[in-house]
Amino acid sequence: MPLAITGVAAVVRWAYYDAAVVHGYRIGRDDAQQWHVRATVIHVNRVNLELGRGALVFVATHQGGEWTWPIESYTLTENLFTARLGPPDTGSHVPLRHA
Amino acid sequence: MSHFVTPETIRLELPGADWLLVKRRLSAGEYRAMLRRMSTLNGDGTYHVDPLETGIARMVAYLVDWSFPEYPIRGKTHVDVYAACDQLDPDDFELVKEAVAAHEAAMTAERERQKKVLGGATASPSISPSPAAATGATNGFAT
Repeated sequence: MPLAITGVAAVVRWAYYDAAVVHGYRIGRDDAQQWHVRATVIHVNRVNLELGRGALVFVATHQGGEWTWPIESYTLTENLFTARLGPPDTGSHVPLRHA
Repeated sequence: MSHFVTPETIRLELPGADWLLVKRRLSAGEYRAMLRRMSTLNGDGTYHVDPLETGIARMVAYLVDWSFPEYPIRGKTHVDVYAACDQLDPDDFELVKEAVAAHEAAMTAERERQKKVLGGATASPSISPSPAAATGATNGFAT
């Protein structure tokens, strides 16, 4: 059965950089168990979004911490951000890339 | 070696099982922001470095997280991290300040070594003389 999560504010992160701040997101999982997100972009750093390709995560905050999904691919058209997501990491922190 | 800074972190161990998570290196924008926080604007429009601000500005620029449970700083704004550093016990403040300064020095030394390996240690970029210079002509408007 398709699943959907909606929320107000979320960010697209590249490790400790915010690549985009989004609003009104809707995350869904289709019948093939593939996660997707669709959101309105409030602010974007296109350089970090491009440089971080392959290491971006979608971060939705909740009362107890954060839900994060790795971003497998994305498109940014005008102010609409859509992405194909990997399985969620329900830990409270976004993993950082250690040197 | 990439021309862009990727957001990598390094964990610095402190005495007593405490630790800091710091940026491996700063981007140009982060470095410029650090210099701005170190400086005060004079009445004549010039900046001068305030020695009382250099340490905390470096801490704010590099810190990503720390093990101090009373106030986690991960994801906090620079203003909040600055305030958190200011609220530290003075001895702990010095400890963090010295650890971050030592990290910066180590990373600078590492980059200098890398530049030497790549053969660009001290050489200036080679610039070909302009055609005008090569022919002895001078630039400028004719009078």
